[in-house]
Amino acid sequence: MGKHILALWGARDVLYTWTVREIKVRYTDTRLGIAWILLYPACWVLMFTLLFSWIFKEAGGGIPYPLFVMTGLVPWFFFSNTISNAVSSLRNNAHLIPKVYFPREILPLGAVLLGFLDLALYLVLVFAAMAYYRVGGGVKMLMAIPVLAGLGTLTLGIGLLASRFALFQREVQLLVPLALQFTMYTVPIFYRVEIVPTRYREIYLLNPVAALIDALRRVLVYGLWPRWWSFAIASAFSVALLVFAYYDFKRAEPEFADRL
Amino acid sequence: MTTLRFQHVSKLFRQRHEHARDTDLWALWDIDFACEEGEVLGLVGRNGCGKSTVLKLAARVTSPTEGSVTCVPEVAPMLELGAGFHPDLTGRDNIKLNGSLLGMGRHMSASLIDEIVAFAEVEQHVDTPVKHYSSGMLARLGFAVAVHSPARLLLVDEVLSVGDKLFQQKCLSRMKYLRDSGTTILLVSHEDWWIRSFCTRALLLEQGRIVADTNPEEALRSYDLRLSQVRETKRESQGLDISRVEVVDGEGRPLLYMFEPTLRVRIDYDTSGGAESNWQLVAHVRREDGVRAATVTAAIPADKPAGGAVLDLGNLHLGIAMYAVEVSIEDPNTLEAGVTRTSELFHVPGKFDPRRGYDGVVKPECEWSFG
Repeated sequence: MGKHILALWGARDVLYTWTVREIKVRYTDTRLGIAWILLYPACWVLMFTLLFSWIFKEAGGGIPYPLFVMTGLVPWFFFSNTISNAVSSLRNNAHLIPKVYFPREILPLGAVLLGFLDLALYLVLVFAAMAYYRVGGGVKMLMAIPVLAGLGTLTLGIGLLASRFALFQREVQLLVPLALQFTMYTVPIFYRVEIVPTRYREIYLLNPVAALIDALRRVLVYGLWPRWWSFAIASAFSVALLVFAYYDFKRAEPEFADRL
Repeated sequence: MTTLRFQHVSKLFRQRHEHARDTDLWALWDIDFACEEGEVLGLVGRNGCGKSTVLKLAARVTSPTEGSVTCVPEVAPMLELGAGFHPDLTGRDNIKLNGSLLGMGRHMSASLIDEIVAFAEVEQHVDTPVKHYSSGMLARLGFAVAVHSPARLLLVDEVLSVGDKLFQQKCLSRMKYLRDSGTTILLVSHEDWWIRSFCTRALLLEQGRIVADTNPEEALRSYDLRLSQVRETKRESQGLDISRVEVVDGEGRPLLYMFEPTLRVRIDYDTSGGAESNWQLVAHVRREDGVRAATVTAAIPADKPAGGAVLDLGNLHLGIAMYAVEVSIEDPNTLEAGVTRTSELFHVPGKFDPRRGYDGVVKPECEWSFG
């Protein structure tokens, strides 16, 4: 493991230029550029607000519903977009793999770094909305950093695993969007954790994605600490998954070129 | 100083089939050589003989099944020109990206980029997305990046035919400069000219094994010799002609894989222009290395000086290899061939194990019993 990380460090130039390439491609791809990237979640926020603020009474639990939805959608978009990008990152660059050697984890890792850039942009939106509604503030907001780090760890772990399987089994690329769609309804994006019946709530929060989204919302807009137990479980799970996924990825890596 | 060393390297490829069991193929067997600084090693051999696999092993994109490959860390693989180029990015961005993939990230100074741009002759377009480049410009740019890398080992796979004559001259002089400044170059080319004028040494590969490790001239001669035994499709003289030698299967289609032990050969001959009327047809079944597996003859009937002939060969039981049928019209007294034509190669399929080499010309039906 140590030698792999050392090799990755040695190839940091490649990671840097690769990520810059991905960023440039993404932000010069559409004519609207950055505006489009911000418009996309804004449309979702609008849609959810129109739909659900009617259905769920007290939907935001004391927080204006658009802001409430935003704090769920932002980490969710980071998670789901990054996984989608990471899954296809190896396959989309399959022509490179038999031609030139570099640590292959750079491809999914680049997708995660790109995701973090989008996330930073989204967070600007969130902070603007918080300022507008005069919600939030305080030192507890700093907890958002470890929470997002946990989410990044989880995303990278899943991305590494899924991208390697997608390289060998085409079906994985089709299954991932399905799994993401399903996950979207099982995490607190447009509803509060509190609407889950009390006896199921602990099981519900065992899902690391749900736990991290809930934690982010608590520290950002409710001025609460995370639920420590669920945050701890989610973080531990994410780290363990990443270690396993990286180990598995590096073990499979020598076969990549031969199997293509 | 040794920059690249292959120690008893073998490489097994597992071929996965949709409806059949996986088959194993030894792409390389017991490859053993070392390269010194400033050496230019040419790899020569037919398609599928393992040249590209050697380059891939040196580039570390694949790993050996047995044995070990050691090389200096500064390797620039030119297995594909412009690896990682993205059409929407400018020439300059792509130079940086391709350069970092070739391990020159930290050495990419602005002046080096200018040098690369000048070499590739794309000064006017360096800030244009490369999707607007012509294919020649793209290839030149890819080539320029690779030959400006500080690599101590350069791997070149059939990419030297880029650009016009002038650019090729420039490539050659740049490669010579790299060679003379101590870069080791491993080169695959089907152009004898490159091997002859540029390499200091050549390996001839056949069926995944090194059959010659010598100077380029010698290796090319040995290669030609081996090929001429099966490759030469037609020799003509004395007003004689063989216009067709075709190996076909039971349904009359050209045979590529021989699954049955029988062969049918269709021959179109013409002896009407010859001086005498007394000729015979002779057919040799030859293995790809020239070894003769079978020879049959028949006199051409005096009343049919030209026309078609069908030769059915039964129960050949050939060993696993590639074969061709060579047909000549010869004088039965002197046995001198007036004209010779060779069919396309066909395979006798099966699990070939290069550890033993060819299994022998004949693979008889056999039965073992013990005790």
